[in-house]
Amino acid sequence: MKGYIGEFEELVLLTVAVLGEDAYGVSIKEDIEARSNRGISIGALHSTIARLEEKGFLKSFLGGATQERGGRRKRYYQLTQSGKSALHDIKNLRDELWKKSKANLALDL
Amino acid sequence: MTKLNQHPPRWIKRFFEWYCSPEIAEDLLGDMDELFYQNVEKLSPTRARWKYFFQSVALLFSYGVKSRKKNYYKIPDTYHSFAMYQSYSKIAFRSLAKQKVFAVINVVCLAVGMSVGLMALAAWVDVLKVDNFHTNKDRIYRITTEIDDHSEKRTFASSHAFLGEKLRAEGKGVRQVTQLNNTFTSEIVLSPSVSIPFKQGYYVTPNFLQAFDFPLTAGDKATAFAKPFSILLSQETAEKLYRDGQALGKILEIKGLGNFEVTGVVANHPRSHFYFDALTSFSTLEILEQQGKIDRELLSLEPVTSFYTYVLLDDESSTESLNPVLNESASLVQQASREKMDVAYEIQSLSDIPLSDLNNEIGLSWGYITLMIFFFLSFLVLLPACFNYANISVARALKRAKEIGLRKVSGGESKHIFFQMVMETIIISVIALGGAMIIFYLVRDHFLQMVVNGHRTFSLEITPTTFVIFLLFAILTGFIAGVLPASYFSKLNPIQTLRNSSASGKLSKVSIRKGLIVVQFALSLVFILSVTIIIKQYRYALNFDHGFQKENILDVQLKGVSDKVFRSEIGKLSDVQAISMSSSIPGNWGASSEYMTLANGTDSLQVYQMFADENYIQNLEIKMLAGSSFPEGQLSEEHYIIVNESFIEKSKLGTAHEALGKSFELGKKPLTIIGVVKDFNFLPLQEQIYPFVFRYDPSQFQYANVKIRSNDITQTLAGLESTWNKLTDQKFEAQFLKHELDDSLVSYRSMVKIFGFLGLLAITISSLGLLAVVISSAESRTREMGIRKVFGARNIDMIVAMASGFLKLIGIAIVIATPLTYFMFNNFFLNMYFYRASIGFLELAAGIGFLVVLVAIIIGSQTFRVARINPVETLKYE
Repeated sequence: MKGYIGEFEELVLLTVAVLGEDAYGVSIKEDIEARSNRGISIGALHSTIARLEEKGFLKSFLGGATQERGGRRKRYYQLTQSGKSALHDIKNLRDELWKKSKANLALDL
Repeated sequence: MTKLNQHPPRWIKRFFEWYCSPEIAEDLLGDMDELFYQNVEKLSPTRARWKYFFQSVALLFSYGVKSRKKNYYKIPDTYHSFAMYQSYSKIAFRSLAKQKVFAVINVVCLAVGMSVGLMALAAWVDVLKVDNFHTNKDRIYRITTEIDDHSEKRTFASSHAFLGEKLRAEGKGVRQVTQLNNTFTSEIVLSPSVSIPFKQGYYVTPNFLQAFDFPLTAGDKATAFAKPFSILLSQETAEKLYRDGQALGKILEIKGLGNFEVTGVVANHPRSHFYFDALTSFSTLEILEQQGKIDRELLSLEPVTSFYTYVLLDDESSTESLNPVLNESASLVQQASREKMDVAYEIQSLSDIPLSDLNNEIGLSWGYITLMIFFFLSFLVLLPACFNYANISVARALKRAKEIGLRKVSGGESKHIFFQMVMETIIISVIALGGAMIIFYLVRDHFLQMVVNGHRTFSLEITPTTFVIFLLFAILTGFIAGVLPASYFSKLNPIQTLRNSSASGKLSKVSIRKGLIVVQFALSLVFILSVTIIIKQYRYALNFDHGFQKENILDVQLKGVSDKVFRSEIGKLSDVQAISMSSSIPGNWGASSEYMTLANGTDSLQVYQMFADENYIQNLEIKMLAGSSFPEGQLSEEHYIIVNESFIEKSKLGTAHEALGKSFELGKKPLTIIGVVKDFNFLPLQEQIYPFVFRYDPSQFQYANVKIRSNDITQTLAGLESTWNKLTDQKFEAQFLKHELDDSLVSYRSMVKIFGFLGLLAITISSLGLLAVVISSAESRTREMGIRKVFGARNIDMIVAMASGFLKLIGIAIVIATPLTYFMFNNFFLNMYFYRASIGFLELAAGIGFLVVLVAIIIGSQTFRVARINPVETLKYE
């Protein structure tokens, strides 16, 4: 498995996958905030995105001009092949761990 | 919905774009904007802004921006390649060629504007070069004396003689102390009757020539001052004394001091703050003091002396090491002073001397203030020229707008356009530098003649250094002139410039431009009016009736020739009508003054006096009111005086006839009034007529006043001179009284020159500026005029329509400038003159008329041209 993925990084990668073609800075931020019920800083988000791009898990391209942002373009993000496989790797690892620890993880009702 | 009007703070965006490249920042700023507009919906605008601010800070410090910046590959800026420079200059020349009239106007304006600046810069460079030729110039310091008598604090260039010994003995790091005294001023006696004054000589310590590198053409620096009563002459003096300039070893008699042996000749040298005709040694000074031939000053502790102290320090030592000795010495002087004052010595480096403005300065110094005034004046002329350029460029923006729009569309950024435009201006100003230098050459000699000591202080030569400075000055001027139009052009919106050619012709800042025209013309008018007023005063003084005859009186310097001999020999010449003798020349500052006791024995009266012979009053046609002139063949004893009206009035003697026969004591002699003359101006016109007496004393006669009637003045003068040469071996020096009086008006001529020159520059610049504005305004209204014409307007109507706006501006300028000039001259300048011409309506009208005619020609020519064009053509235009 190449590259270690942190918890927040995993969250960002998965959110990009959820958003599909509409994954850019603000939408990612809002989606994570809505789902995980926590506020995240735009600085932290872009730092994480930059790291993921450097690791090769994300790629980006500029979209067309927009009206509501003073004509500024959006930078859209997409998962790369290695990003996908990294997510798969971590999921497999988790599944395995879940399977083996099922007996002990039962919640006390 | 009001919240839609809220915007994130612009300065943060600016900063963000500056910190990152715009390419990096775009999507981040977009994200932040989006969040801001969401926040504005939910929160207050202030809080949304705060959030925006915190977000931007978080982003700026985040790894995201850092890594983007690191990985961002900047495309090399091809706009600053050699090829682009080439293209810029090519386009600059093309657009110059395309608008020849405006190119010429711009170049001439800038050339005229820069010319005064060049003069100031060259003068500044000259001042910097003073004393630049000494090897040790960086380590030579002068000790100055600061005296604070609790009412005023003044710094004197001089210090005290004892300081030399003290510094030599106790000063740390002192290599040499050299001192001088500048009272060595006397006359060189050539023969019993002939002596040549030398203006300035120094007594110096023997190491003077070691500390300062004045080159010698003859003699040896080491031994020149070995013996007392040795003298070194300047080359100029040596050449004056000896035709071959070979002065070495000659013995000179210095009047009142003794015989000196010439031990060297100081070569002509680059400019220095020292100025001397002769040098002699301190040992001479000591002996002369002992002999009592000069005032004792060597041991003086008076606050101000004639000694100057210079210190040459060792390589490593700093001036601070001298402070203990100086403080100790200063307290010595302070204790010795009778009055309460604080004395302190200060250290001044050699290079600071030319621009310092100290009391008791030794030689030439120019003073910061004079230099600053000079720079201010040049600024005053340069600034309108720069404004003109900006004005014209912006007014012509239409012609360039399309080019700039196209540049922008094909990728040119604002800064590139800015750079291109500034570069274009710099090219123009460098071309203008050529013109400015031509003006500089033309005016230089006049300038040097006007400035006191001009030729000695300045050379104003253009050396490579000055040329480089000139070039930098031209580039700076270009930049200043170009900044405004360049930033205007760089902000042009390409869509507008390309869509509609007139959209960019907003020509903003119209009121500033109008204000500029007013200021320029007001300034020009001040200069024009100054010239007319000074010329009137000049002509008034020239034709002033002094109360004596000025024509045909030749004043010959007697130079020791006896008045009797002169009279009998010169009187034989046929062209000589009459001869009289006098001690000074009337209408000049020559009359001396004395106090005389009045009849009541208590009051005294200041009277001006002049010694004259019995023929003087008749010869100069001074009007007698009562009595007669001195009796012919007076005894050697003085008995009589002739007084003027003011004298009688001030001493309350009643009428002129009553005053005759009254006696006074003057110069310890009892003198009787023998005649009364009508008041005449024996002093220059600055002064009123004071009480005055003519006295008779042949020993005081300096001038012979020869009345001449001749058809051939040159021949008469030649005859006079040849007769003179038989009487004495002195040079014949004579001048007509009229010329002499006219020469004293030289300051008027300088002022007319200065004001005239500055006025000419100001008028040139403002007229050309106006011309350019009128041309472009007329051009842009060509179509309007065509339409007007079609509807039946006459030529004259259209001219009025176009010209009225400009005429209003000129009217405002006149209303401002006229009272200003009147006030300035009436209250300051003309107040210096007791006899003065009043400022009349005529002079003001003449000046204003000149300006109005000039403006009318400028405006009229252009508007007439446009008004005359056949409307068929104008409506096709554009």
